[in-house]
Amino acid sequence: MYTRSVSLDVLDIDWKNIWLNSGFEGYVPDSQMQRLFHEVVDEVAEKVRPSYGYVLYPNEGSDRTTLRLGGKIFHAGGIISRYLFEAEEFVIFVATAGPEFEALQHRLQCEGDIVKQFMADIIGSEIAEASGRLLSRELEREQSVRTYRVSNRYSPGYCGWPVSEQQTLFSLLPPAPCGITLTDSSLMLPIKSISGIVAVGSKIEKKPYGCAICGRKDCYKNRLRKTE
Amino acid sequence: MTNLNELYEAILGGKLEQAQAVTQQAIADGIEPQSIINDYMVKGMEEIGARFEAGKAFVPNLLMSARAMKGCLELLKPLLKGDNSKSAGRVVIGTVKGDLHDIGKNLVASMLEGCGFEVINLGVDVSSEKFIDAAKTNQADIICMSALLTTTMNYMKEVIAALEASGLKGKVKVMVGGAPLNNDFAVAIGADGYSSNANDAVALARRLVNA
Ligand code: B12
Repeated sequence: MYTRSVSLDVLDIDWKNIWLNSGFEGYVPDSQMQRLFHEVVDEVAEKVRPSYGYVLYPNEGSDRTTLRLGGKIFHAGGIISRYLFEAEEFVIFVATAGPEFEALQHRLQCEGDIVKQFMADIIGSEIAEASGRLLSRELEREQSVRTYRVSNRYSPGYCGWPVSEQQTLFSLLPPAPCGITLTDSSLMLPIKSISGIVAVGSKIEKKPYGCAICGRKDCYKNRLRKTE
Repeated sequence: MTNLNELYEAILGGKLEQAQAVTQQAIADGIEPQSIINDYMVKGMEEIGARFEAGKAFVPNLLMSARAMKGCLELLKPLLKGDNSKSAGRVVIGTVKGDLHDIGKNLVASMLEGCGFEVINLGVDVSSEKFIDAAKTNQADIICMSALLTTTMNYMKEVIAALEASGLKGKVKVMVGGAPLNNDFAVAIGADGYSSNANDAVALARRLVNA
């Protein structure tokens, strides 16, 4: 598995995501609050080593509902598979804010400052996501040499792809990739981790992600959108 | 003489040090702790909550106020010993078994704590046995459960069944929340209350404790 661990300044932390996840759409904190957020990020930057890793597998005859690679079948569902099934190769990836981040969060919990704890929580999620974005950029650079295009990142648990298939996903990676382990319920430790698949190939296009392509009526996000 | 309106303003503005300084002064002046709490601190929290509802304050503002209130309550705690009304209630909270999403749960825990509840935070991936044991050991008034996955929200039903089996149902109230839930779901599984955000969660917890 290819792995890379980076310092925080290599990631493009998107402050818009941080504001969004700590307030509402369009929320921008006042300068005092922004200063506090930056203080927490500085503290985090000193300690953490986010990392990501991936393995490439050839496409073994995927179709519009299932993805086949590494001798395994993923029931990723129609929403995701139809964008990926024509891949030449698949990238199975993980990305994490890392154990150092978890240790820092634990320390903040012990200190009892609920404002800092919350800010760190939001920042940690963004670190995991930003590590995923860095991985995508790197893949795009690499694959463009072969004139292959790269899809978005798709994760078990999204768009009807069962979270339980994390077990299959992890079976295609070495044990504890980037230090991440799976719980019985197929979630990852450290908590601030993500996993998923990316398709590469000449017929692959970067399609809109998530809610934009999913019409599931039973999803609360679609419910929320309807009442907006 | 202490100007307790300054305490109200400091709580509302989320100014911890200022709020603590006024509280110290009020204690020195011999002002009744319950009055400091109910007439000024709680009022400040109510106002920031109302602003949040109106979209004029945000989650970080709520937390700044809750942190200020928590800091002041710590100063008042020694004076409240033996006073039955010292805690707004005792809450056991956790993210249900199979789920690790805990930002919302922690936010609810912090707000409850800031508003004077005693909170026992069980963390993530919490089994029904752990919820029930903690509720028993701590003589909790409320069990709060959070779930962010459509697959894990159903586990809440199991916890409520276990609560029934333990004979605690009704004595210990159940509050549920998390993005994929709604009120209908909460009613269907037999929970006593649902709220979609941490601010409402505090009001709901108060109602359940006083019911
Ligand atoms: C942030 C986030 C993450 C973060 C981690 C979060 C954390 N705990 O630290 C990261 C990026 C690491 C992550 C990873 C994953 N995630 Co995620 N994540 C989210 C996201 C975007 C936001 C959740 C959040 O924190 N919201 C902010 C808080 C404040 O809101 P909240 O939790 O809703 O809580 C509020 C209310 O609901 C309420 N409330 C909450 N609990 C309670 C309890 C009570 C008693 C009460 C009264 C009220 C209440 O009050 C809170 C405060 O106002 C959601 C999507 C979404 N919009 O919900 C997906 C989401 C939950 N994740 C999802 C998935 C699938 C995953 C992954 C499995 C994906 C993957 N394979 O990589 C991983 C698993 C991680 C792991 N360790 O195993 C899915 C779940 C789908 C499903 N099947 O149900 C979601 C819904 C995204 C999606 N598909 O749209 N995730």
